Amino acid sequence: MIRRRVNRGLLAACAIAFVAGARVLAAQHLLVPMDDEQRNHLKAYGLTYAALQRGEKGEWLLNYRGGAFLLGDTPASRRRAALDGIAVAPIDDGTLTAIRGEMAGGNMDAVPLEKAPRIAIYTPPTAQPWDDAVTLALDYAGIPYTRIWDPQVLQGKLAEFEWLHLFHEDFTGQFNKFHISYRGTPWFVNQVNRATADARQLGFANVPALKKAVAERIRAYVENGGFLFAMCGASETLELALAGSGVDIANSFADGSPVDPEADRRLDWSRAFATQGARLEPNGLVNAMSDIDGHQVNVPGRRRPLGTFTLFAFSAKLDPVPTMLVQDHRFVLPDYYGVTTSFTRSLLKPGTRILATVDGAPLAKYVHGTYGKGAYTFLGGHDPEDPQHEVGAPPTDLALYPTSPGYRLILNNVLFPSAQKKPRKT
Amino acid sequence: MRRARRVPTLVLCMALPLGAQRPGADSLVVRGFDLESAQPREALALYRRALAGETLVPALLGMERIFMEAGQGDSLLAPIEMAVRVLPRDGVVRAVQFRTLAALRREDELRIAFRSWARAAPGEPAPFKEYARTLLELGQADAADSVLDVATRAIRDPRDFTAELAQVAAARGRWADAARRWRTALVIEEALVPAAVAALAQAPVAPRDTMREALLATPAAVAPRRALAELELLWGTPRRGWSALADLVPTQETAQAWRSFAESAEERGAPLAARDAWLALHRRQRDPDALLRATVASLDGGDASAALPMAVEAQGLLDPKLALRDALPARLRALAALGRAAEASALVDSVRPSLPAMQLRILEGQLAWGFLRAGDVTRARPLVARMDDDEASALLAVYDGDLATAREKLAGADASNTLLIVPRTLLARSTVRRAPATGAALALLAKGDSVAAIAALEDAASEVSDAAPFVLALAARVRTARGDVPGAIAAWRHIVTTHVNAPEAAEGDLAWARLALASGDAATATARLEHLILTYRASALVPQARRTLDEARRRAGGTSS
Repeated sequence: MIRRRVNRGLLAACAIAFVAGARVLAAQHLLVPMDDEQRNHLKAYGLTYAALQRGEKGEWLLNYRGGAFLLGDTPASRRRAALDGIAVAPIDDGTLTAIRGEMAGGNMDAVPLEKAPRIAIYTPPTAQPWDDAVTLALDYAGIPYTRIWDPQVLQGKLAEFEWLHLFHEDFTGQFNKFHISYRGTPWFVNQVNRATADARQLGFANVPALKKAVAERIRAYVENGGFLFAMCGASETLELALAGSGVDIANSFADGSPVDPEADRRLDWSRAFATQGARLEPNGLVNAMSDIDGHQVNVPGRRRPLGTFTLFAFSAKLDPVPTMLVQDHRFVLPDYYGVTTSFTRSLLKPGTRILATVDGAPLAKYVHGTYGKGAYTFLGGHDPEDPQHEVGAPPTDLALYPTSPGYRLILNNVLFPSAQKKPRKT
Repeated sequence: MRRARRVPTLVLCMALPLGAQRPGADSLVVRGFDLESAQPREALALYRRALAGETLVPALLGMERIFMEAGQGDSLLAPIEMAVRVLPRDGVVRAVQFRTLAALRREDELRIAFRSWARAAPGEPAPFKEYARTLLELGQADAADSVLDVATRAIRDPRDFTAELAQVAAARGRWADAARRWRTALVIEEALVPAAVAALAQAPVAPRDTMREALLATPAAVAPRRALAELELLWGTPRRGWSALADLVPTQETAQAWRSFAESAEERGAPLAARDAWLALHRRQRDPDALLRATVASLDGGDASAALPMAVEAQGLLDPKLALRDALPARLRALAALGRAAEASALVDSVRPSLPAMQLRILEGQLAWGFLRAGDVTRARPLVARMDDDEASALLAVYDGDLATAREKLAGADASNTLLIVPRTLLARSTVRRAPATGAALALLAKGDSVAAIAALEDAASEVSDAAPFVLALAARVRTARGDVPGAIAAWRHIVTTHVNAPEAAEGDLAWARLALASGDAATATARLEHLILTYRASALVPQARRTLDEARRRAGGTSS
């Protein structure tokens, strides 16, 4: 409610227009509204990113018109907005002053956007039989990124990036326990063979050992100031891999030995980012990793039905970081499954900020926190526009969902490292 | 208010025959009913006198109608109180009480009334059901849920509340749960299908797959499948609706469900789903009428090739007179739509002696359209001459190059005939009165002689200079469809560069870009698409151009490294 659009009439004089459709006005700025006036929210992030990449400055107007962006009125931005169908409004200094006055009086604030972050996506070099929501979002928005995989992580290449994304990877090295359903399928056999060969080539006895080493590099990357965004199973299994650094947490099909019967007791949660005190699922034939995930989509007796989740409203002036991460034009969103769909709230560390809660359940959908000099964000679920996304399903065509509020959450994270953050005042 | 009035009227209809056994009091109710709209005061006086014995309930319902219509619900409270004292367990009296208190927003008294009824009828599910329904009407889904929660523990058979719990789940937006509960309720009570459909129809897109799973769950039951089929029609996915019913074990009940779905699909403008249902019904029951309806639905859905064998089969199964009257026109329509006018003509000739004059004229009309569709001007001409059909005459005139006559004939004609789209556009774009080369080129196009048509259209463009880009675009489209990539690119380039302000220029950019992309030339594609988007900003093709531009960018290297 506190983020409701304020004084919508303010911009009546400078009606929203597709820039190519508007006459070139003597404007100094381009306002990119992110409320329901916007026709392509996802590409608006790409427009902003491209402006930063060209060395231009921008601002993120938190809680103003759905989290609008303010860019310089340059021919390049106008051209891109026109080509991509992004609604923008040219405004002059006078109008901007009025906007700032309006923002000063409400739960709104402007955060300078300084630099386009260098983005790494941790993804295997070969195609997987599922899509990656972040890759889809970045491709659609036209935001460049670099694919990296285990060898590059172990070579220390993470330091070259400001932002790292993890998606479906199982950092416990158990291949998401897909052996239960897919053990004979060619893609799964190839995946296991390839991962096992990679592990040996990189000097590890098995895949779980390799993935723990990778998890440790990721932990160090965040500790040293990197931004981590993890979705779906990567979030939960990264936590387990970090907490289980010195413990056998993988079933015998993955490393030849059963799970340490004392594993739960021996897990060191001080190493994990967001969670603590979780219990492993030791049964190799139960398709769940732990009790961190509250939905347990692949365990028939435990599967929780989908409902909705609600974004939390933060104070833009006092809490700009979480405010940035929840900028959206919808606050109640339909939920969607992933191998990890949600996070059990009672297992979150006290310092973990809950950005969205699953309605009617003691679960968080979206969490954030700082770790060392860096920060992490976990978003449960696989694909915001495909609630039941299954292995082998075709990738979502984002051209059909240009205003997707769920995908906006992902893209908020991409721009988040661009922001020159003010120190938190509370 | 409207809903509140519907129930009493129904109950009155049932109650009157019973009351008719007792002269006196029941005649008061009948007279009161007759006077309700014109003289409500008098009707009210009669109802007051009848408010006892067996006419108590219909009299109370009559009073409810009058007081609610007048917005004087509070005047009803005293008669209700009296009725409740006499019949504390009566469901109709209590329903009137609940409706009245709800309308007056007297929620505390409503709660007290519920408790009083529950005490008066221990172990009965009705008080809980009525109260929950009333709370739902008041928009208090959570409170209704609580009432039903208590009820399921208080009443011996909790299945009594399945439908109400399903209603509550839907009202709270718990669609998957609602679908599961409705499935259970429908298995018990098939008559609830319309209620289930009404409750679930508003579900957003996201939970629909889960709802489908719930309603399709095994063991398959007809009523939940019927509900899903109806929902799919409402959700705009009629083929999925038919899929929900298609694999049911064929029984009499299934056949009834198929028939009902087919009729519903026809009503909702989903002819191909209706076709599938009619056809399944015919396969199950050897029902020529169903087969005929399948044929017509298939034609209405634009699937003439599937319709043709059905029409032939229907012709063989139906009584000869009916076959001639109903199946033959469908068969001719299919042949005409498929451009097989000669076959259609032979068919008409074979039955000509046995056809009444009126029907022969109708069939000849269909035949004429078949020849026109096939560009066979010679054979169409005598048939068109015998018809009183301005559209057919206009199309023939266009083929003859007589644009002035065509324009005149089409002045007041229906715009829905798809065969006339090209002629209409030509006539709208050009002021030329005669254009024989263009007409002949369009006839060649209709004949399917694409090579000759391309040459003829490109030659004829100068004849209608004001519509030249339109005619050239027709030729370019045919080149594109033929896979003549260099020729098509050249044709579109010519349009884009020499007819910059024509409506076809944007189409030219898009077509050129697509051809370039298909040839692996992403750079040219990108340039053409950017030109389109930035130059023809208001064009309806811009969204397609943006989509294709995304593809071109991906091909050109994408965003990943």
